[in-house]
Amino acid sequence: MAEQNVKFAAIKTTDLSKHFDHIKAVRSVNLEIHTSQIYALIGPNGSGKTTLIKLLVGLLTPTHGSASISGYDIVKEGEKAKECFGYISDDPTPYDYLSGIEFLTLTGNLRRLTPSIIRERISELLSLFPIKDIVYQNMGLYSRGNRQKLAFLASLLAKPRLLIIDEPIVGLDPTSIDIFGKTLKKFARNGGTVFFATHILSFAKMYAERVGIMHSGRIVREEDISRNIPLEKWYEEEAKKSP
Amino acid sequence: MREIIVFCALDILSIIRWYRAQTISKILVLLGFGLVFVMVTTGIFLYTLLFFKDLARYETYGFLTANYMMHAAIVVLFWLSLGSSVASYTTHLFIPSKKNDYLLTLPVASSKLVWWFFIRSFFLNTILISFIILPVLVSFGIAFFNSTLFIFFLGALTLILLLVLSSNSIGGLISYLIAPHLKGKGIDAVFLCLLIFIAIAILLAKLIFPQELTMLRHAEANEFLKIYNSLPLSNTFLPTYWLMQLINFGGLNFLFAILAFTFGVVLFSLDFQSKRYIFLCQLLKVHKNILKYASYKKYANKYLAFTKLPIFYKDWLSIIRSPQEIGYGVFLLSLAFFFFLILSRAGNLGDMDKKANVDFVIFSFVWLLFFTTCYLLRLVFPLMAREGKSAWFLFTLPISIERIVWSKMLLNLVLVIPHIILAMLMWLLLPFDAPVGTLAAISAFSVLLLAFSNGFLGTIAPNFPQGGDPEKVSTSTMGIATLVASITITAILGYTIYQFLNGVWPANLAIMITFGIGILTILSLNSLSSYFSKQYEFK
Repeated sequence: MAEQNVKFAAIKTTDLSKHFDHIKAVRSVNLEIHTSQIYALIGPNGSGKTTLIKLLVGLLTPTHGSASISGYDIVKEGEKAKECFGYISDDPTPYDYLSGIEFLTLTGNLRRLTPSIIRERISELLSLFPIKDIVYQNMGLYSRGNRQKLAFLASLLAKPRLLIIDEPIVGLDPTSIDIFGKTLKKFARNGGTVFFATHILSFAKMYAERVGIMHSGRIVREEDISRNIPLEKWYEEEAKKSP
Repeated sequence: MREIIVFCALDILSIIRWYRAQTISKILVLLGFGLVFVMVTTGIFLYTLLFFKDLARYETYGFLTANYMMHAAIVVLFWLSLGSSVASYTTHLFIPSKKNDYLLTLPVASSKLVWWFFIRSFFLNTILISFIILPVLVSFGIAFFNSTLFIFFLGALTLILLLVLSSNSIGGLISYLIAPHLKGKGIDAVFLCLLIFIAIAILLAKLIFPQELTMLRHAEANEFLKIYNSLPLSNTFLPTYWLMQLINFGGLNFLFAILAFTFGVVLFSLDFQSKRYIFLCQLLKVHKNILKYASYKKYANKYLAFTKLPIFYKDWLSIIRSPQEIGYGVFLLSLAFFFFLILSRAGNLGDMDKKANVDFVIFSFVWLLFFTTCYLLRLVFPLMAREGKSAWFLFTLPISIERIVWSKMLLNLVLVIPHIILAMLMWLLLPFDAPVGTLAAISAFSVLLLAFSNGFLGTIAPNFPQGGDPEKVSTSTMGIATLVASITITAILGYTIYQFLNGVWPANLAIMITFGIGILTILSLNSLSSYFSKQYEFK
């Protein structure tokens, strides 16, 4: 796995805020996610989940506050922070002029892996999902689910310590959802950290260890979860509260 | 008929509504393009007026030669219009459109959809053709039909409409015939079509501008008519000959002949298209991105693994694997080559004094930079914006923004090489009495300067949300700002050459000014790009 500052939290935010003109999309979020944890962020549409994730991965710059990945500030030490995580967007639109295998190879090259390691890792990862038949095809022809699978494989390619995923299972069939969830579990067992945002409460309940409920740009509740927690009830309770 | 009117009204409504959001910047874009339109049209008008007035000094020789040149321009335009129609029809058939897919589920006869698309294509082609032919026709009319200008213009407008109607109909026929054979062939098919188009264009140029044309000037009256009547475009069976007769003499028999020909072609084409439309839609629209390869060859993947320039190579693939982009680039380059080829032939027809010689050099230089700007605005300026919806991938990798920007600049320099070669070769092709070496050096550097400017300006405020559509990126507010910057650079460099050719500035000074302005511009734009590219946000 990629090197990182193990003494620091995998993700830490301090008063993290993002405003778009008059809209406060994320308001003073303080979050600390420890290593080897699977953390699910849930919340209704427009609650600020995607904006928070984009702030964590450096696609947006905070209006106030800061975010660090494995101790590296995402704004000031962006390159070092980005070495520590793999990311999947909520809309993993690929380069429609590359084949799946080219996309993975490009990812490996840009993450500074040697050609032989790239080949080895791709071969390992392709055994996760049954997609060997389509990897030489133009990605522009892929279904939503297959794009999600490719993006997942690309995020795992350089063995990061942290995975940040926005809507992990959109477009996936039940078998692939199961593979996806189990892979996340295995990843966490091996010392990796997973942070994902989802609308699918059952997926969060099944695979996450801790959950944060986001509403109107704030994380309004955080709990460790076990099999019998009333996640749906909490979600509804928080959704009813207006800030 | 009602459905066709509704579809056309929807098109008009979509244009009106497009202007409702960000109205000011869109109006600025429109004004900017309007300005370029006026400048280019005025340039063509002034040049052709100079040319025709020069010929008008010689009574018989002048009119007949000008008439032949006008006829040749119509033939060339017909060929361009045909190419444009084929491109427009094949794009309509190949590029998936949710709107068309929806329309196909409605109980509307395919003939009505065909008619609707024919009207749209006719309208767009009329604008394109008018843009080029109107200033030429106006200058021809002023030079030779000053007393009957109104009647001449009526004939000229009829000529444009008939020219576009027939080229649009034949273009539709060709597209519907070749479309099934292009399916899934990727860029190979686009290249083959372009190659055929360019080869025929060059043959056409050679055919309609034969060597005999230059002999006309010094020929005696009898010999003149003998040569003139043997020229290829003097054949009375050519429909374009009837068109020329229409504007020259307004004869009714020619009008009937050309009307019968045009409407015959239109009706046959529309009938043919209506019968094949559904079949082609079913055949071509089953898969999206039908013109792209279904899979790619493995060597690219091997190279991607070890190249030290992965972003450059990725972007290179994005261009060469996109039929629209590569097609546009090759088409524009061929058009530029074709333009200078015709200019070289036309330039041989008259005796040029020093002033005309300088004007001709400036005219050619400005056109070179105009073609280069069009090419760069479409292929180079959007390079950063093209990351668009895939930005989530590149901008979350541990790569510095400088590396991304410079990878794109490197590709920019590779893409502009054909224009640099053209900038150096065109001066050998054109019949000027001018220092070829200095002009070639200044032109090549000017092209390079435009490439850097377009590249850097494209990274200052990339239009990421519309990155999937490079055409929209290049017509955005920043695109128009880049266009204005390119025009300014062209004007300054054109003035430098003008001063140099008139002997006001020596060659060394002209070169120093060009390089000085160039390096200052590049350094300033680099600083701006470096600052703004660090502020990117992906909402």
